[in-house]
Amino acid sequence: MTVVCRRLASLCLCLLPALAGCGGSRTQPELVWGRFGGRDGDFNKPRAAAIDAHDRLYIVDFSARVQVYDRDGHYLNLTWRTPDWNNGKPSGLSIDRDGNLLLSDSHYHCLRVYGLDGTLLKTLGLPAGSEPGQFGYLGDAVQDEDGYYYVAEFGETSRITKLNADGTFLKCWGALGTAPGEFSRVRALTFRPNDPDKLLYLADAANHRIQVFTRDGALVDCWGVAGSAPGELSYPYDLAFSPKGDVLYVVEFGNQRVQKFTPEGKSLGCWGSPGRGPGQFYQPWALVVDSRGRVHVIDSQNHRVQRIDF
Amino acid sequence: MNSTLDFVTTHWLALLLFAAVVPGARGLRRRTSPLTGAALLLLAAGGLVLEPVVGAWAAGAALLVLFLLSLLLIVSGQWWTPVGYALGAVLTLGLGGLCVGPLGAGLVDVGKMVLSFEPAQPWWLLLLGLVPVIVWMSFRSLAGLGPVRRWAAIGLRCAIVIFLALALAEVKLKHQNETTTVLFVVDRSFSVPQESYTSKEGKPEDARWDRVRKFINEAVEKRGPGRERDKAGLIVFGRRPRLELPPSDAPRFKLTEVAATVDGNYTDIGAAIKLALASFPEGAGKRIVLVSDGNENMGNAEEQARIAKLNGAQIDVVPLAAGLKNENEVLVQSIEAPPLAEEGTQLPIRVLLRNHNPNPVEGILTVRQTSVGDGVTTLVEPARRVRVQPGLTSFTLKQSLKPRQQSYSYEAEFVPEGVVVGKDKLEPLVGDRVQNNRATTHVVARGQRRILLIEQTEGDHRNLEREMRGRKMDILALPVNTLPKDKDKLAVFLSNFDCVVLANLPAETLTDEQMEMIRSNTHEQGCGLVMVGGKEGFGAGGWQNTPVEKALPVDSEIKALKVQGKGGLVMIMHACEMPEGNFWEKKIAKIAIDKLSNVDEVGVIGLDFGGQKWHIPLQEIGDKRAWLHGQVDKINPGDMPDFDTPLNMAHKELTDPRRELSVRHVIIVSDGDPQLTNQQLLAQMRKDKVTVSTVGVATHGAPQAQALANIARSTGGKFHSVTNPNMLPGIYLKETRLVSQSFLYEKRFQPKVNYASGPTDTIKAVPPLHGFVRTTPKQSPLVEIPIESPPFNEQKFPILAYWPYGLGKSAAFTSDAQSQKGKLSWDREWADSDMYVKFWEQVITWALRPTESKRLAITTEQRDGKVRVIIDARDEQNRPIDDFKLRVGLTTPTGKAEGQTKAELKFEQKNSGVYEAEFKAEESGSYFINVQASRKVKRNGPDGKPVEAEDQDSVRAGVTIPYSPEYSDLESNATLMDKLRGMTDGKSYEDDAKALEEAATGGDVFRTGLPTSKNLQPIWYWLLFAAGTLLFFDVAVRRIAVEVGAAVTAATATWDRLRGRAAAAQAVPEFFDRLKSRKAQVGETMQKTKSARRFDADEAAPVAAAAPAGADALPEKTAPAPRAPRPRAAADAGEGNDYLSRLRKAKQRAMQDRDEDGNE
Repeated sequence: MTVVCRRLASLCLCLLPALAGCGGSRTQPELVWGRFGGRDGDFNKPRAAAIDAHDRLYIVDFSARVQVYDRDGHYLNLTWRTPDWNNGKPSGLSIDRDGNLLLSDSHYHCLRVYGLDGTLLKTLGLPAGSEPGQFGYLGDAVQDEDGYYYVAEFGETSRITKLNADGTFLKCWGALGTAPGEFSRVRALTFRPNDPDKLLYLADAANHRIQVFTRDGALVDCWGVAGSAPGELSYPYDLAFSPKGDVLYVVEFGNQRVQKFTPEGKSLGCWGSPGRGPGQFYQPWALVVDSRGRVHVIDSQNHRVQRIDF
Repeated sequence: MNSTLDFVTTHWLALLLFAAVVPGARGLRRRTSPLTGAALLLLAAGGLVLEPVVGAWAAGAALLVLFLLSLLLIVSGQWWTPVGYALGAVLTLGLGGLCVGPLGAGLVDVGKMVLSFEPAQPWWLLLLGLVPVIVWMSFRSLAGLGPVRRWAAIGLRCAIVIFLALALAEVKLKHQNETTTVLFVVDRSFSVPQESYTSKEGKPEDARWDRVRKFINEAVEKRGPGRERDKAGLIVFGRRPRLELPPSDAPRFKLTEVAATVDGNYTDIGAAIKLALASFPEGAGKRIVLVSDGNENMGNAEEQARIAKLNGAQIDVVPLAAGLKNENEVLVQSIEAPPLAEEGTQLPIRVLLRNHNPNPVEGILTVRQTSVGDGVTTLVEPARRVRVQPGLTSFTLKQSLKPRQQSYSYEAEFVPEGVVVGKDKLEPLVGDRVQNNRATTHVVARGQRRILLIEQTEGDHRNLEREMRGRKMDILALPVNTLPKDKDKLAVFLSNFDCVVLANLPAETLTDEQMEMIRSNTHEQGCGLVMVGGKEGFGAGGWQNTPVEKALPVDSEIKALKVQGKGGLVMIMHACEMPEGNFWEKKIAKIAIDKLSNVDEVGVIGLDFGGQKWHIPLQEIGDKRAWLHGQVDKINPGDMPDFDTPLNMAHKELTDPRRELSVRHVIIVSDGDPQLTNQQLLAQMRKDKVTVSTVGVATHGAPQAQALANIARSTGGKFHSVTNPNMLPGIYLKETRLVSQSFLYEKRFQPKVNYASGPTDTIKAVPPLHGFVRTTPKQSPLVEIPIESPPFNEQKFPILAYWPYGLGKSAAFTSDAQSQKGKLSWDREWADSDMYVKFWEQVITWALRPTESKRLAITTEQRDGKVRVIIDARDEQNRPIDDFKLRVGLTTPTGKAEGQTKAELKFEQKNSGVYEAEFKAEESGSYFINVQASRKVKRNGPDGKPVEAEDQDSVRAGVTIPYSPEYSDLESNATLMDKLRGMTDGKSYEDDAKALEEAATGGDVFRTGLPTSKNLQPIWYWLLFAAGTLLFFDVAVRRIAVEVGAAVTAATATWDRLRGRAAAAQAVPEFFDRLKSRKAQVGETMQKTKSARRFDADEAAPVAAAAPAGADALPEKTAPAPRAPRPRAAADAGEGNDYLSRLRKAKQRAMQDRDEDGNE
């Protein structure tokens, strides 16, 4: 019996590195995919992304095309465009409560809800304007499990607007400025999975910080200063939590890297540098985290996506 | 037969394995184990039978089961030999399927590769002669290594020498590319007849274009198996070709509509083929699929097809609408009027209509006359219904001209009503193209010493105007915005005048086309040009590098200047989401750099790696313009998140006191997306006199435009909203002019008259002026500067300069001429003096066009894309003049640069007094011809004696090519298409849905057989690397000996241990047995040697024979007697008596002895 035990132990020891995946994060991206072009499946400066429960990536680019890929970058032969894009292209994508795609059509002052096959299910809009109850330019939007929409605007009407599930105006908070609770170009919103406090995290890009609010608009936390050292931020353009909710990934447009934080804002490390090679970014706009915790970075000016294990 | 051959070539390695194993089975069995034979057979079978994918799965599955069995073996020690063998067989079979095929192909490739080696320095290959020497030497010197290692070492050494020799010989690898690239070259010109129908959505569609698209899409998608790496691309063309889709191996095109804009007014097949040839990737087979009607009216397709042939490219053709003839076509062939108008005469106007229908066509003919100057359009005769017979029909109309001579444009238009079928029955004329139903011609008035003064706003130069009228000059003052914008109209308008004066006009008030026409009006048409300065003239008006500047005797740029008043300009570039946004941004940045003076400073901020930063740090322009342009070209404007950072950067640099900038300006070009958070910054900038102008390009809406306007307003700058990118250069010119203050000198000074001749004839001194614009005289011996400024900081600047330019003359006056009652300007003292009128009269008269008498008559004829110009020169007595030398100026619709057109027109005297020239006129639009004649004549001088004098005359005419040649083509040129195909041995596909579908689905356009290129790849570094690596192995082979037996034994032992057999004990003796026997062997040999040494006298002597007494005895007390061996412990006998134990004990004893010796 002891012989068998000893053998089993030694076998386990041998197999341990293989089972552990050789451990630690890598310095090279796992996968780099996408190329510049006008054909379906190609990119023209991809700028926002969302990932669904089946780890399918929905990516919108500067030609206002939403295209669908699997997590390995295979184009799933599905491309559609927003009804009009002459005023400007959409800048935010997320998956809503029902698993549909929520597209912030910035310059058309509305949210478009698409089925995952690209059919337009509904359009939620407020009249264009700067007053509460009106929409300026939309940056990003998310829907919580209770059905409320949270919409970030940029420009003169920098604020967060909360809508009912039917799209009626509920309240809004914040204004253009640099003080905590004020915004300068909110690029992305997100919730933390399994969050007992149900907080809303947002990337306040031109103020180089992350702000955290309750769902009713009370400022809970505000962290990050401009800079390029670890822990500092330069134009955080998108943010996403790991599946467990213990790590917040932030993509920095200015520093051209991905930085991970604890939900409380303690930096856990940086990944990437400016450039065109694998593992380098050129003005990345967005990121998503898949169900296995891998980060897909939308490397906009390089017209590609990089999947990193970070 | 072919399939058998294919099978053999694909599976040659598997067949070889079979051949090696089966016939020689007996031999194999003898030499190797049957296991090896069986394995080889399985590999061969796998290679023959299994597809690689199946093989991979089989091998993978077998490996997995083997792995699981191994785990079981490790844990439990269980093993099933038959299962093991079976799995091994499956694994081998699978590996055969997976590897043998590709390995065979790989080996073929390697073989081809080796055969394709090409040495660049073949003499070095002589080193290969060393190989036999090495083999011979090594064979002897390495004898001690044993046969296997010896041959391995020799092989390695030879390989090293061979590799080094090949590396030194610089052998190159020939790489054969076997893919094909197909470029679809599609004609989108207007001559391709449409097959119109209305779609379900009610949109007009063209069935022919649908067919072509389908053909292209299908051909790419169904290119056939094995052609996946082939590439396909798309070029569309008309006047110019555009690369719509670059060659790529994408599996499908999904071509719906063409994104590139194509000018369909012309067809240049040659240029399209040329672009295709340039777009082919290196190496692959090249095929062009030309889809066109073959009606080329520019370029030379045959020449390009020849080049294609030389480049190994093949042209397949799809002749569109071959054999189709459009009979329902009526066109206005031309409208003709005498080229020069005589006042008060009845002008005969002839309109030629051509009807291609076999029946007469009825319609309405209208002829209009437009006088460009006053813009009045009148009908020559009331519109009338006419019947146009098949073929050519001519209609003549009469027009009385006003007493005052003027240039006119005439336009004839024919609107067909229908074909006359039977008696007065009209049927609609389907397929008639409206574009060719009208034609224009121009009548150019003879020169009448008229002057055109163009100014910014009416009345700016009223005093000058009045004074010139007082001298009987016919002068028309015109605000610049009323100048015709259309080139043709402007040309006709300018032809009314003999001198054009541009007075205090900033450059941005004229378009590039207008400027080019004004330049050509002087260079080619011989009209005078005078530029008068002011605060917005010359450099201060941004005239640098404009066509007009080329015509002037001075350059607006000032090379080096020791003056105060430097300006600083920072441009903040944000990505513009408009078509060709980056192109425009670079263009305007270059304009700004060009328009600033050398002493000014410029900087550009943009977004790049590392965020918002200085693309061009703020710096003095100096002589670095070309470099700065280069830097601008490298800019790739990005999407800036905010304006705070760049504005802060610009503010900091512009207000740096060390720069001593008197004007500080920032221009932001943006779509308004970035936002400004810190509004206090704007107040600070205003305080520091940093102005910011914003240019909103394609902003996303009013709020963003508002944000940009706010920035401009808060800092004292201007906001410009741009919808059309053509507006950008004008805005930048204006903005830049605000920055550059160094051009102006605004103090009283006394100009110096250098000499009194030409325009300054009889003027010896001039009153002081109160300002001028700094300029630099052109570096030409023709430039004269009769008046210049006194030296300022040792630099003198021209006040009046002139030179002849082309067939005309031009002058530049760098001060102004605006002083009038109630308005004091730089020339206030001149305006009050007597010389004022004289000066201006002389300057303008000097510049006027040469006289135009009636001695020269000009006639023009158009035929086959060429215009023939005939000059009839007769003197007052109607005698032909034979000794004229003719100079010609030609203004073309495209406005080619100076010097390019001259060579095309050369007059030859065809008859007495008749001169002829011909030029190509392929572009539609107006051509203006100016002929200047000169000869030497003898005249009586003032003293009555004959002196040689120059006799000059000139004449002008306008010719119009009414519409693009595309509209005169009635049928396809299938002959040309077939010729292009034939020249390159291509295929032809019919323009028919079925034929095209067959060609597409059959993979015809991707067929093989094209010459592919081979590229030579240097491999010397790989050879060197291989030689270095082999050197290591060479040493290793000689130094490290691997005992095969030992390895086998160890493996067997491990296996047994895993199986749990108690075999460990046996293994050791087995190993030591061999050791022992070896020792015995060696001992025996040594013994023999010893014996030989001792008893070499007689080998046969008995070993037991007694030695001589004392021979072996040791001297009694010379050394201590060897210690008697210790008695063995009794236990020794009890412990194992095997060899290993004894060896171990011997070792222990030796250690003990050593210890004791040490103790003693």
